Amino acid sequence: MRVSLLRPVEAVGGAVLSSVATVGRAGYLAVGAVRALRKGSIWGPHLLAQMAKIGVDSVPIAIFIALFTGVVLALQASYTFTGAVPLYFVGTLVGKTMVLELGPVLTGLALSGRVGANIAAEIGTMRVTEQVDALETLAYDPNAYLVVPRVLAGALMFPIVVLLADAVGVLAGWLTSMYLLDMSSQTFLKGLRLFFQPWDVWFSVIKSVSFGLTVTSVGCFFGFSTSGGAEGVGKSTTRSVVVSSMIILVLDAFWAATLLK
Amino acid sequence: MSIRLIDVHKAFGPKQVLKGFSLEIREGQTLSIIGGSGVGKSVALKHVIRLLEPDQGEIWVDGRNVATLSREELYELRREVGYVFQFAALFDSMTVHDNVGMGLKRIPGWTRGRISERVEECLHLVDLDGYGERFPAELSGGQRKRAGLARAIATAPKYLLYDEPTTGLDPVTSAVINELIMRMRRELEVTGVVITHDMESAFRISDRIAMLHDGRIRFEGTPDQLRETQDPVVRGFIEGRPDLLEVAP
Amino acid sequence: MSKGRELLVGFVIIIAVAVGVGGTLWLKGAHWGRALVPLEILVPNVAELTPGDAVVFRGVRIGRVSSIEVEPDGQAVRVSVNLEKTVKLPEDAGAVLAPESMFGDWQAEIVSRSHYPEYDFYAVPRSASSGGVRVVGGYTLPELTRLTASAEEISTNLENLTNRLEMAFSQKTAQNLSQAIDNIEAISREIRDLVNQESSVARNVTANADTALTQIEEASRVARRSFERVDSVLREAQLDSIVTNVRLATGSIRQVSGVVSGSSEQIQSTLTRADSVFARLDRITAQLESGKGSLGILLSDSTFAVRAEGVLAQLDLLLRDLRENPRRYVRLSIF
Repeated sequence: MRVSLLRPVEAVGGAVLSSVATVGRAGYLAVGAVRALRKGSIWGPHLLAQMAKIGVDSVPIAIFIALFTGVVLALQASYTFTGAVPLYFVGTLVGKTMVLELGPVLTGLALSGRVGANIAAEIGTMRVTEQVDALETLAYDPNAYLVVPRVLAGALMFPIVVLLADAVGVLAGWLTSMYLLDMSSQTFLKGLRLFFQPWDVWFSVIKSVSFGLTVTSVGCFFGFSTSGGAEGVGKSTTRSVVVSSMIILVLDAFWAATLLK
Repeated sequence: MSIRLIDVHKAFGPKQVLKGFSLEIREGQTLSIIGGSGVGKSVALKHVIRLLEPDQGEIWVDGRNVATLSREELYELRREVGYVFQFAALFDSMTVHDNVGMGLKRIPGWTRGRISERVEECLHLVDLDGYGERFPAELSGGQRKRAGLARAIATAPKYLLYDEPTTGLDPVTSAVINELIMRMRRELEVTGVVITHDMESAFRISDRIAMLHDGRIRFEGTPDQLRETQDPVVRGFIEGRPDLLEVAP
Repeated sequence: MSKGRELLVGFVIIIAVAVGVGGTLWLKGAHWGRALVPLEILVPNVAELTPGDAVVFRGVRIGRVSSIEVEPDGQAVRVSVNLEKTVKLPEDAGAVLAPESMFGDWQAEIVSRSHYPEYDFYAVPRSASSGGVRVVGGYTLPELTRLTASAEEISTNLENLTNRLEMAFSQKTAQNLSQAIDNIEAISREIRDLVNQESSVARNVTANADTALTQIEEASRVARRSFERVDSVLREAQLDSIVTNVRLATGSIRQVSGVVSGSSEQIQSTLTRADSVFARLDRITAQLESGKGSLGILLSDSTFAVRAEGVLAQLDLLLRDLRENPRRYVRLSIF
């Protein structure tokens, strides 16, 4: 009787302990990665390859998403504004929404699947096949060899991908307005320019840098935490995508609350 | 000069794997550690080069306390102690040549040409001449193990730690690997520690054999002593009789 | 890592940065290689003007607001603008800050002050100019919200005024009052017409304008009520009676000194009358001195009257502007 009464308490304690342990391990990894920054000779040669893999290879999917988002934004804006509001607000809405929110967030979420899952699977496989240990035996710090180039590449390339996505989204909205909504180019541009601030672009860049750091480091963390063979790799991959998507949304709200005043 | 593990304890969560593991490996010998699957043989071996850190106990390699080494000293140690992983742990994205040369790239003064030469030499030692440009996925299991061995010997280590070198191989390939382990000792004068549960292999290659049971060394001696021991646990293991293992104290 | 991949990474980065920087500059309307002429505007208040808003001269956009800062002494706001076109501005140039459209963005229009004598342009002190940049005074047009606020203030003042006016009142005040009430009614009419016009353009023209209208109507009603009360006060000639009373009292005092030598009975009755007159006079003067009585407050609080007149003048100005630029005042509150 006593045992069954205490079980929920035990469960709470266990959950707290394990989440504290997870945070601790994440912090340990972060410290290791920051220290590993000094070992440029290890991560340096891999940075460009990771920038290509994480950044350049993600451009098509980001552009694809942005393209359709831009089209939908324009169509929905015109549908909503019919009658009451001048149509040039379609331009305002497409520009603001794309640059401030949908460009960075949709790209971030898509890349948490593409990039984060890839990293978690890759490092997870290396972990379960002892390749991470092998790196250690060959005098390579796994943080410097695996984590730093990926996280750096993420932080550098996410904003690049997002800038392109922003531009493509706005462009798609513009073309949609001209050819599907029968608006003039000038009308769209008037709305686009009306409330445009250069700060919007910075906001987009800051957001995407934080998303890049998140997606890559969460992928690395779950990759390193992998145990239990192929099934373990699968679990890490899923967890990495779920956790980084959640962090992206929380960060999104955080930036909106702190940077948009 | 030797590797000594003194009273090593190691637990993973609630599971106590090593409970006072002590063992000395003297230079010039090949020592096999036998024991059932999952009793912690690999765990013990990984402590030697600090891939794992003990909860309690000390590990000494050539008079150096492994736990107190700085990062650089540890890397120095790891160059002297080669580790052959169970499934070779070759890097999938690199050719065999790059895999083998990987450790050398980290040593100052090793030029590309010198590394290349050394890699060819090592591949020749494990009979993998001409396989340098292949990727690990294009190799058979035995070839992969040999490539892993080549990588471990590239830095000309004094010690070689083999983690189940013949597991999962057919008898012919196992024999080839056993032959290689002996060749390493003969030609490179390497001290070897071999983890195995393949008794045939153990008897063939070892100068001494130790048995790990329940977190401790249950038996240590020459192959001949092993054949004659009356310890029911050891007998049960080498004869493949679980009934003896279970009744043992 | 092949050379081709390296090239691709570089290519993508360069394109993205170019798109980001170029797009931003293009949307912000930056001009390369064209000399910018700086100009500064001093105003007491910038309302909703923000950096990046247009600077207009004779209806043409000639520059943008680059920064807005409150002066160190806190007496004005310095608006720095960059003119992209070299234009000869009028000698007596001033800037009118006003809404550019119905949707809330503002602009600074450079005008010749002589064309807008009714606007109270900020007087630029001689010390305000620095580094050879021309400084002009600005005037910020009030918004519809301020219009309604003014109307409300006036009606409140009127009510206070009439409440305090119990007895003391003059012909001039009455005229001012009736004029003010007429004004409020005129505004009310104007806004109603305007709203009706706008309604035909955009269906849901804003609760904003509606509320304003209701407020003004309410104010006008209050004022009308107050006026009627004042009117009745005037009709009952109570004002005359107090003035007469005071005159009577002064007369009585003179009489007292004149009849001292008369008969004792006469003296007695005269003194009794004089007593009551004196008492009343005393009461009134005491109240006057302490500023308590209604007349006293009216007399001592001269700022009250000045303020009411200022508000009336502002209302006049607004009304004129409303007639000229009705679109400025009806704002659609969408965002």
